[in-house]
Amino acid sequence: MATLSRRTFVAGVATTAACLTASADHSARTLRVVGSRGFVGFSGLASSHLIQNLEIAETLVRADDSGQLLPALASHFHVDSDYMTWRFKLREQAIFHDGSAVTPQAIVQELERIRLRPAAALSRVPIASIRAEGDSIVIALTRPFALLPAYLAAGSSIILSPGSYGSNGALGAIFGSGPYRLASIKDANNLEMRAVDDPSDHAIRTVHYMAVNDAETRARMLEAGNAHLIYNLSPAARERLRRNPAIRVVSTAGPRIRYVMVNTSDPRLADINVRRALSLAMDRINAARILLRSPNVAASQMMPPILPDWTLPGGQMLMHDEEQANSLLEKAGWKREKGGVRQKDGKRLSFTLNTYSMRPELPSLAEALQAQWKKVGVEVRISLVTPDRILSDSRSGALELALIARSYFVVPDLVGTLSEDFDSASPARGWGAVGWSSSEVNDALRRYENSTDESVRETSRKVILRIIHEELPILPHSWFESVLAHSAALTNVSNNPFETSFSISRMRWAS
Amino acid sequence: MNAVIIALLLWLARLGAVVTIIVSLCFLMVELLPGDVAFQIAAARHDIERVTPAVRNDVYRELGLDRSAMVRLAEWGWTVAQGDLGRSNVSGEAVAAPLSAALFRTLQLVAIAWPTSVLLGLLFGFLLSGSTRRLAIAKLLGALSSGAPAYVIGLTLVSLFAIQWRLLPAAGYGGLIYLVLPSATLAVRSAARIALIVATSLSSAGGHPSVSFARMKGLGELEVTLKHVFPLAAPPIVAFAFVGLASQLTGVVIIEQVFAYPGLGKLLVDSVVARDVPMIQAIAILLAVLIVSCNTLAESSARFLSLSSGR
Repeated sequence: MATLSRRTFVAGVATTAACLTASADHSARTLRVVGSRGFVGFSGLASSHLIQNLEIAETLVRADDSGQLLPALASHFHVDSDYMTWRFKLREQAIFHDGSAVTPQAIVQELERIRLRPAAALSRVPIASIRAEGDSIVIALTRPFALLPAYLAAGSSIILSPGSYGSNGALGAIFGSGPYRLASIKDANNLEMRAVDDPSDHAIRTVHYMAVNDAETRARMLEAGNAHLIYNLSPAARERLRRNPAIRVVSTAGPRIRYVMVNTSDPRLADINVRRALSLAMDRINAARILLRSPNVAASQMMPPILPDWTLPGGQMLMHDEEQANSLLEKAGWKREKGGVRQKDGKRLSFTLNTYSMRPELPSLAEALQAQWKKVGVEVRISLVTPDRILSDSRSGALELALIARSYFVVPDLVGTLSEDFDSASPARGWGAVGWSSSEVNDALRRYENSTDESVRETSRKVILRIIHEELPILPHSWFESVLAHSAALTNVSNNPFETSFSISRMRWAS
Repeated sequence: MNAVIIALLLWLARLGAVVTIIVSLCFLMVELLPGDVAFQIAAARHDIERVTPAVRNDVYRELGLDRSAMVRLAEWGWTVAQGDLGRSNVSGEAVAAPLSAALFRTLQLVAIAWPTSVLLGLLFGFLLSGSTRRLAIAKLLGALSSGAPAYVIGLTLVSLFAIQWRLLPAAGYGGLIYLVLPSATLAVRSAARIALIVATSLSSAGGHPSVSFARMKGLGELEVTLKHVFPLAAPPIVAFAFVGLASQLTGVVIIEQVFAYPGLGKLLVDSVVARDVPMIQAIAILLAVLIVSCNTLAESSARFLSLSSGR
């Protein structure tokens, strides 16, 4: 009998297994998606963002990949001339997954429920009343507020059927109206979905969503062929997967920003020359290239180029220039001897930089900043804290500097979050500016909030961006790249920088 | 009969003491972890960048975190005494359902890993006993496997069997095929340790006067091994096998992370990150019961075997 070499045996078994796996995939055609966050539970809107991304439930209005607001459950909407009364006409023949019709009354009931929850974006909208009127939902406001459609497009504003709630009013099931219905929740980390309509040949019929919190494990699952699509890659895994011919990597820098919070009520940081010097001493490009492995994410200004409306003309606006940083610090009276720490009136130019490790790249970026600032005579002590400490120190005024990451897409109009962070009258302030106020920015944010007129909004955007750029209440560091990777078996995969949808309904099997 | 009653009483007494100490320590440790509990829970519910002061304060009010830690611990103890393990701070749902599902999955892993490790341990231990050189190899293997972190073994298996050869899934939970790599990782570690104990026990039993005497009487080697060596070597081996079971139940914490396997270990880590105290406490109780039972089994089986082998 001929002997079977070990290599032949392994190759044989591997081929057989690969064939079995491939044929199983082909016949069942279940798309296996792996993300970082699981289904947290039925209470308090916790998983609404995931339910929205998986296209199980819809919102009245949705944001597309460029942040443009488009009709969803509402086929169209308009506001009366006083900007106080909004009308949303319901899309015809919309059906919830429990078989009940989507009625204006059902939506009113759901919106009333949502806006009472502090975690809901809608809780911050000045709503006077919500009522059903014919085939429309009418929302009356207590003051003009043009951002309402964007707030209705937020993940927390998803509309579920009345049948999703038990007799005690608690959510017990998820019946949305999106292209996929939730077939089963095996556990918090495993959801199965099926297409509601019988889709075309290459469309995705069944989906298994799995939550895996370790980025490296997600990457290994794609490499091993256990997943077709994975979200949130680590920089190291991205480099490795890019070299794999069977895998495609898609990166988009969206409106999530890493920046240094600066307490401008600290007398040293109140001086604009010191803030400018700190910003000029930051070598963003090298930090992005070496630590984030992507030079394109170095913040040349506050917002990334994917949002043309939110970028100022002029390209690279946040420069790296140590010489100028040194001369600004000299000008501000901070003198330096023999390359040491700068001093003024016997006080050292020394700060504590708080950051946290929940975003794993932040501590190493903080160390790079520490080294860069040391070059211009600014001493920084890094303190790893929990994020809540930054929030509470910011509100109490005890904060000096903090390196954080902040999303500006929770409401898919940036002003929703910008006004929380930069309007000095905002009760939600905590992230963003500390101790800083600008009446011009406050006015511009309000004008933007109050008007649907594009020219008014355009002017407001420019004012907000220009003043933040000039006065540096925060020092932008880098944009956050959302990176997904998928198997070559899948086409039409898009990466939504507002993280409102995985757009699985648009994906197709390659063959 | 007496031995069974003593073992049972011993088990109950130890269990009561261990559970009380463990849950109090767990509660205290979570209280002492840095950071605001309400914020961490809110972050687990909504993602950290969605947590505003209003969201955090809502969680704080909802969970009554303004009450003192002692009051909350006492309240929790009272609910547990009534047979209710409480509700998760994060999902708001009863912890019993996710807990039993996770327990089932972990037991699935251990149900494969433990017998495998015992069989492999016996086999290799037997092969490696007999000569001092083979015993040295057994010691080396034992040391290497105890020293190698579980994730190193796990990742090596993944890169070979999942990524290189695509024979098995890299992570997750589904059919039986998903159990292979995590249970193999669990088994490899304890198999090497069991092999070491088997090899040393057999070697030392082989040198026992009663064995030499049996040989002198002219008994065949097989008979000597079965009738004299095995009974002498059995007590430490059986005891260690049960200790190995206990260490597998704790070893799942790391291994379930590596394989994103939704068992007790992963649930425990996720709950600690989220500061989900009721869930952490319930898992602690469960693990304490399991581990104390394993240790009691180890002790009583060793005692029973020692008695019956006349030592």
